Amino acid sequence: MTHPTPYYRRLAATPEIEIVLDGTSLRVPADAPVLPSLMALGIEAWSGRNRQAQPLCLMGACFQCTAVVDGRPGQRLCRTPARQGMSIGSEQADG
Amino acid sequence: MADATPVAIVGAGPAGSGVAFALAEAGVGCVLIDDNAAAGGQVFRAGWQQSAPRSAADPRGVELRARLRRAAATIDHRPNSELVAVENGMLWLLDSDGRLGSIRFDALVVATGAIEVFAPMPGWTLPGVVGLAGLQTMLKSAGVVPAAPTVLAGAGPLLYLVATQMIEAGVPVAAVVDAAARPSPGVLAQMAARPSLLLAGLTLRLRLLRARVPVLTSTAIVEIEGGGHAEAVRVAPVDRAWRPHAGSATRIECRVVGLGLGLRPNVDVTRAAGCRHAHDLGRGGWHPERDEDGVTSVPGVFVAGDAGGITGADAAIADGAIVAVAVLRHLCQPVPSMLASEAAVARRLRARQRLFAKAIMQWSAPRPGIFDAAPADTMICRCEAVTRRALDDALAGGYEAPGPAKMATRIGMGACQGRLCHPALQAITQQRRGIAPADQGMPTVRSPLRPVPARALIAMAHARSEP
Ligand code: FES
Repeated sequence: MTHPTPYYRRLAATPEIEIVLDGTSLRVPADAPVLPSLMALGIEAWSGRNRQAQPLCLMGACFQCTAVVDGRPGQRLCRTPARQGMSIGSEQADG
Repeated sequence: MADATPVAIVGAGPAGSGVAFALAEAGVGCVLIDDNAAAGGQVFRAGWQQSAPRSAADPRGVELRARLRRAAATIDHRPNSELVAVENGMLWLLDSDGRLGSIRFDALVVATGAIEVFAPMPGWTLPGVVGLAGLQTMLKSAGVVPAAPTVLAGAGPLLYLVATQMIEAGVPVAAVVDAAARPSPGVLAQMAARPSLLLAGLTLRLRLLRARVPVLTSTAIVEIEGGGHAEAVRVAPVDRAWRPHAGSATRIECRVVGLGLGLRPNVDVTRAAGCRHAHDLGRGGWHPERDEDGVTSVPGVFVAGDAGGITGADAAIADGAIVAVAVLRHLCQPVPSMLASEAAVARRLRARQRLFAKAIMQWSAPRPGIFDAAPADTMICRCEAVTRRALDDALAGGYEAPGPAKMATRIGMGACQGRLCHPALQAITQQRRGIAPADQGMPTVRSPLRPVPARALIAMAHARSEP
């Protein structure tokens, strides 16, 4: 789910890399956890295994933010550093 | 083949890093395991530094990371590594590429810090609702902040710290909603055990006043409204048990809601290691039993910092030298005199830090009414979609304790393993069945602690069966 105007913003422009989210390429800051950057792009929820996935604790404890990262399911995006060419997919296409 | 180390430390925050540095001074090496990309823990979190507000960038974190780099020969720092199991002097780690490793140790120091406490409420599953510590993490690690009206709600010092950090970063904070009453004169007098921190707290309060942010005390959110995203909160005054008064709610428009009722020890690892735990709201609830030196009920397992009971960052730093001395004794290694006197000083400091922490808890430890206020349709367990109604039915059906309630509803058995819902489950069981948390017992832990790829599980089983 994305909003036309994101509810979060980056405080400053930093060097970016390219990642792929559900087939769409996006530019996000390098060397930061990927989830806050997605939030700043207006991406705050996606489909999860048995519920909607979304950020909550942002500290790796709540497991609400999981997705498939480079083919590995169950990865917490708040704990996943952005890497050039990384591919992120929802855990279930419809949800 | 497993790696071997005299000391394995889990958590590279101020406590864990402190123990590692003190051991290094004594010439004892360790493996310092951390699930973050950079050391420092939550309080000294690294990452995004440019034009970060002053209050968000702590020079002690920069110093901690520099020291760790200098000590690389003795301290084997393993960032982005998660502990998945621990048994019989062996622990299992998963790195960020999903590779499993194992380490044999003679002593284990658990310095896993704290996690945030949440009270379920209608609408808390909407996007736009995040943790207070989470907002702080986003700011510190990625320089990302809310751009839309934001309500911050909960209790405790973090509420005011995050509010100030957000305002300094230009976030439009619509209101700060504090379930706790203003600290009583008695509590303020106790906080004076640490004048500098009391002053810092009052300064935060003053900054909010100057920024004209409404601060509502003895007030809680009763509902978060919105279609596909948070759009407003409804807040109401609470009674002494923090139960909101129905029917007197005020609506505040916002797009981001930061929630957090304070911190509790992260007991994942001490539980897995089989340590005995006790319940004390003054220490953040369930915590491993530990003596003054950080010795737990399991020989060779030590705990340092907030993981052993919430006492704050300064007490965690003090624990570094104190726990290191205990570890050296356990290993029958000499304690350098420098370190011994450092530990003696730390002990005196820690006594005051504990007094202060106690006063903070008296002021802000969550009261049960705020958990019990969740109406029937509220999602209590998000992972397994268990509502308040289902939990009440399970409890009314004669289930005396969370264990059986879990079996009836699968509450707390999902991906987060109860980290998110346990305080609510416990408080609701207490309110509905009159069973004190200590009598409910601590939830059991499942191994592995983290979801692990099947091939890694097979590798673990294989290694276990080796002589
Ligand atoms: S947001 Fe809680 S684990 Fe990622």
